[in-house]
Amino acid sequence: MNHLKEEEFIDILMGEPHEMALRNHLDQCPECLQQFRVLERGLEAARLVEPQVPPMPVRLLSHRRFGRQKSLRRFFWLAAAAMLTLSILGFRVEMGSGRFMFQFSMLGGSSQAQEKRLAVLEQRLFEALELNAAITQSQLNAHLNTFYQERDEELDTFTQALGEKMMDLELKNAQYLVNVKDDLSHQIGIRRSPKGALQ
Amino acid sequence: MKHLEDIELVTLTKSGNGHAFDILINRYQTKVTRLVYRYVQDTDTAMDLAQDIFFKAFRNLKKYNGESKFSSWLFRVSINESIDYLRRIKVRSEKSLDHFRETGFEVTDRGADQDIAGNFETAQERQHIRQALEELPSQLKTAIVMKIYQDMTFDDIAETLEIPVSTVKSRLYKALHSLGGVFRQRSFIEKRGQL
Repeated sequence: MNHLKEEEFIDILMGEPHEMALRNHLDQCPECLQQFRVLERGLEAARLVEPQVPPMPVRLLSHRRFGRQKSLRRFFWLAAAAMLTLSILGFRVEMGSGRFMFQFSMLGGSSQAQEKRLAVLEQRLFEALELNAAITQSQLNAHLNTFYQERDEELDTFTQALGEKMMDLELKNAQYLVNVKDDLSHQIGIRRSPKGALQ
Repeated sequence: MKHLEDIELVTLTKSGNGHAFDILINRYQTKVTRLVYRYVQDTDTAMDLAQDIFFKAFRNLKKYNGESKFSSWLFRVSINESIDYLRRIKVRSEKSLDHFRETGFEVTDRGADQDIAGNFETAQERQHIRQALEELPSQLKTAIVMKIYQDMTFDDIAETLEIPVSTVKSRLYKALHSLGGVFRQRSFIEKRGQL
């Protein structure tokens, strides 16, 4: 048996146009009927807690207010763009001692003065680079000298220690050889007969 | 100009006639406010949101291409704004069962003095139902709001939400089944407790 679909349940529940066969099936199918009862209770519950909308005071709305809002926003963005542009151009306002001073540092004014200033800045930059290079080389030399010195000192120490070790090993080796010779001599002496003949 | 259709007023607004939009505002302000109220359940908030909705509609009118009814498009904006508002303030976290036990049911509730078939007798039961409704996914809750509370046709709902009619009915089914199932479970538990 094909049970009712969700949409068919809703059509019956909400009074939408539907075929009589659906209603007949509902009456004859306990499972579908049980589901339908659940939906009925859900509908009752939803209607019971329906928010009652109180009388709403009518607020005067007009496109003019929206236009002002749009204008304000547009004005804000234009002002922000203008300030950004001016700051890029180097616009500066100075106030003090009861006077104002406006200054553009990039556009306008004397171009020769600007070039002269740039040349001075360039010269200073080269001097700074050279000085930096000189300082760097001298520091590098100092580091290298220190490194060589330390290496030499460590090498002397290492060589001395190695020499002592080798001497120690040689002594031990020589002592071992002497011992072996003594043992051999002793062995040979035992094997000789009392009259001195080899057996 | 008041006799003009919505689409004609929209065309006039787009061409720069602001008074045409004022007519649209007058025509739909109450409906939009009432729809928003179903979600936020506060008069001042509903009116503020309605103003924002009309401002947004005015600003985005160029996006309305006339394929659906203006009212459907406007209601869609209203529903989205309402749902976004609820998400922002997280209404559910501000309310508690204790608060409602202290204050009782809201006086605006329909049937506060009625007893429908003796099934929903206590304020606590109504609060339980209300909580279950609020906890529904927004899509299912919207189906209940638009069909049961706003009494819109399935075709209008489908056009507003830009979904098929069958999907609207399916969502309504799931919403009502969920509410009905919650209450049935609670009644069963209470009856067992009484035995």
